[in-house]
Amino acid sequence: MKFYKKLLATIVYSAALTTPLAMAEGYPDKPVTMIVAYSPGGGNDTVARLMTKYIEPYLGVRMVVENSAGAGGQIGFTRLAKADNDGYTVGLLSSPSIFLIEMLRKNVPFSMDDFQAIANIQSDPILLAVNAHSDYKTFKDFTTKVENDAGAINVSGDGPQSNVNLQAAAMEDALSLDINFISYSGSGPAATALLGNEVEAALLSTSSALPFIESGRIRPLVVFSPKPHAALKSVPTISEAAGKEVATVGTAIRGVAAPAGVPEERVAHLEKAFKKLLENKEFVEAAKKLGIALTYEDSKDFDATLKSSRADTERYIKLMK
Amino acid sequence: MLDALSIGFLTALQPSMLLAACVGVTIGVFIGMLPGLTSTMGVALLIPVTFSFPPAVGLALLGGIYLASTFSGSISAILLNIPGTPSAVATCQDGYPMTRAGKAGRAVGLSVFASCIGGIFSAIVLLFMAPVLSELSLMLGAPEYFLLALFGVTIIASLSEGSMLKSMMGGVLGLIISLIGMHPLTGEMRLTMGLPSLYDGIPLVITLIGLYSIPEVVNILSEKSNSQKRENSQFSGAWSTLKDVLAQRLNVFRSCVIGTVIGIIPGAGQSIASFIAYDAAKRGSRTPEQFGKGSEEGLVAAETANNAVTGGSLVPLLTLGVPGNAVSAVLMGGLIIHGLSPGPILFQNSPDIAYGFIFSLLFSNLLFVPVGLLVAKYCVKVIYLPKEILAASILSLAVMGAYAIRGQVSDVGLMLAIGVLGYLLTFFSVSRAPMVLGLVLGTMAESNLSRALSLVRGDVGELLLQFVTRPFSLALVLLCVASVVMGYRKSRRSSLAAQDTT
Repeated sequence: MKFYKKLLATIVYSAALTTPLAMAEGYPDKPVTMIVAYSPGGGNDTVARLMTKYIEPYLGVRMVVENSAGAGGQIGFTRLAKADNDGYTVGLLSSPSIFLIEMLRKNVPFSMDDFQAIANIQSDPILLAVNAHSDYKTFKDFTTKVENDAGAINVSGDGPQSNVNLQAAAMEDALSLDINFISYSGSGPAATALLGNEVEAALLSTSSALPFIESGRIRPLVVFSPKPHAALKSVPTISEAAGKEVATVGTAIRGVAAPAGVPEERVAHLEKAFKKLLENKEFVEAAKKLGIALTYEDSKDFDATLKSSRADTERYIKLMK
Repeated sequence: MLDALSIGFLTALQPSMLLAACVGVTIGVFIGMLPGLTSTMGVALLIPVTFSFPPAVGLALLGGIYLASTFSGSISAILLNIPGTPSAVATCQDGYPMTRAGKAGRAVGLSVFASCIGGIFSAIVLLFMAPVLSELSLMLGAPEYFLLALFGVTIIASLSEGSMLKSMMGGVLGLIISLIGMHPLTGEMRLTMGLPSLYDGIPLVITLIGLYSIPEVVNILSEKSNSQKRENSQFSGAWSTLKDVLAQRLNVFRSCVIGTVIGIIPGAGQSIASFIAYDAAKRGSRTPEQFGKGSEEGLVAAETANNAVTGGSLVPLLTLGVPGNAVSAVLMGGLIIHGLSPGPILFQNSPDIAYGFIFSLLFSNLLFVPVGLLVAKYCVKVIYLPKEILAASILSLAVMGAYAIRGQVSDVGLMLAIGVLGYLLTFFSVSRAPMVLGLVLGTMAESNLSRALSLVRGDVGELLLQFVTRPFSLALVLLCVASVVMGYRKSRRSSLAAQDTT
């Protein structure tokens, strides 16, 4: 009996002694959860899962993806905003989708102040593509047709209220075009509609379009980004092709953020881990294979990028309402 | 081609591949049985586990889960009247009445062999005809998807257990529930009461859990003693049902074709396939009056078709890189994470993986027969459990399942509310299957009708013209008309017969 008392006391004392120490020194000492606000298999999920595969040595613990899909991302982003700010929950933000939710909906329970930027990971611009058998060889062919036949040219894209939808609106506004944008439930179905000639063109995220471009089934006409895409160097940018500036507001920017208020040294630890991850050759190689264009930015730059993306979204949001 | 096939065959025969398929099948059987854990979730949950595996081995594991969970949803459907996965709703119709009649073992046996044959048929189609079929599938667009959904609505009558009016009520209720959430084209929020958890509508799985589990809990608890159905249930004669399945040659073949074809069509899904096959079996049967009361033909049709979907849904994924349903979308994520991009390039660059995967699907279809029967043999004991324990277990599984789908506590409340509705429906003997069908078809019909109209810029006349000028549309229009006319004539004949007897 005495022995057990002694043993119990030892356990209690050692627990009391080690716990605060572990709290102070041992971050992280349990897996870090990465909230993905979209369902498994999509662009957000893919990049998140790819990161979990390679980040463990830099983070010191495992990172676990948790899909919290629903309401176009609102549910997952809300969960991230309200999560404990102990550094054990991070999430993947997707701009401009998060701003579209914030601006188009009522009673959205989060704002950008609820997030602490950690690192920008990926940017995925939108491109305009046509079926490989289409008569449109250049972006000019396409715009000429649209000008002659205003409102009658069907263009598929992920929607509604999506970044693709926003890019379509920005393009129509800047180039005074009138296309008939048809919403599909994702870039995959939008590409299928193009393959089956149900529509004349499609606005697709570059990462989802790459396999179809590689297999020669669709032809990209223009990419909505300031610089040519690393995997599609011969495809002109929108300003080259149109001879005019078009805001590349639809580009999906995906980066890691935590709930606001995470202790500074923990933010620094996370930031360093993601920085090292993006220097890992195997990770970079795997991302390249998947058509994921990596654009690393540290927490400060990512924060600035988010702010400017928000301002751009605000400028074009009225076109979507 | 022959070279690639033999490489694939040998890849699939490697011990690591066979082991992965075995493990996948075993996990899949359990995932499918539990309401709330669907094939989609099972595959998604296991993807991270496959990170460290060679790609082909990882795919074999995921494929095993997909096939086995599609089948095993029927175990809980047959034993407890609770579909373990959405694809098993049509199975409840005749599987559960068989259990009540003391033929649980036979029902599970029929289900396992029917599923196996459906799965093998579709895997063979995937192996040899995938490129041709995927090109054909590209000829289908919004008008065809809409018409297919419409055809689905016409078979609601066929699901009626008794009153046609009540079955229509169920169908309409399902259609109304499908309207909740964001409009698929305009983004307008409807009937959401400002709750973000309703923005995407009520998830099908949560509806199923509420609709089937909760009334069952109430029923079990309100029974006076452990009723007759449980004393009678024996698990025997499962293995001998293989020849009975094979004897229904026409029914099995028809259901295989229906399942595979529906599987190829993106977004249609397993529950629609099994309902359509069930309806076709009923129309072709010599004893249609047995359907809904324990008809073996109905059970075999539904089970064959839902597993025939598995191969079909992989056709567009592997040949075009476009997933055919939710599970194959997750599988696509699994392929991508291993650095493989699905589509025609996959077969050129890594034939060992592509064909190895298809062959391992063939093996998995065979593997779930013994695993499924073994598991079912022990599961059948649940119906001997004291009613308090059984009811409590079902209730806790229902709550966990509803929470697990999206990780939201509010979904549990949603599930319970639907459960109350489900109990009221059973109380007034309104059959629930038409409601599920209405729910599934409503979303499909609405989004594709709006899309089809939007493609012709709102010109209704032009859309109607498309219905009769596009070849597949015309075929579907004729099917819809035939279905309605046949139903009408049948109901007139039976009312005439009723008059004669009086």
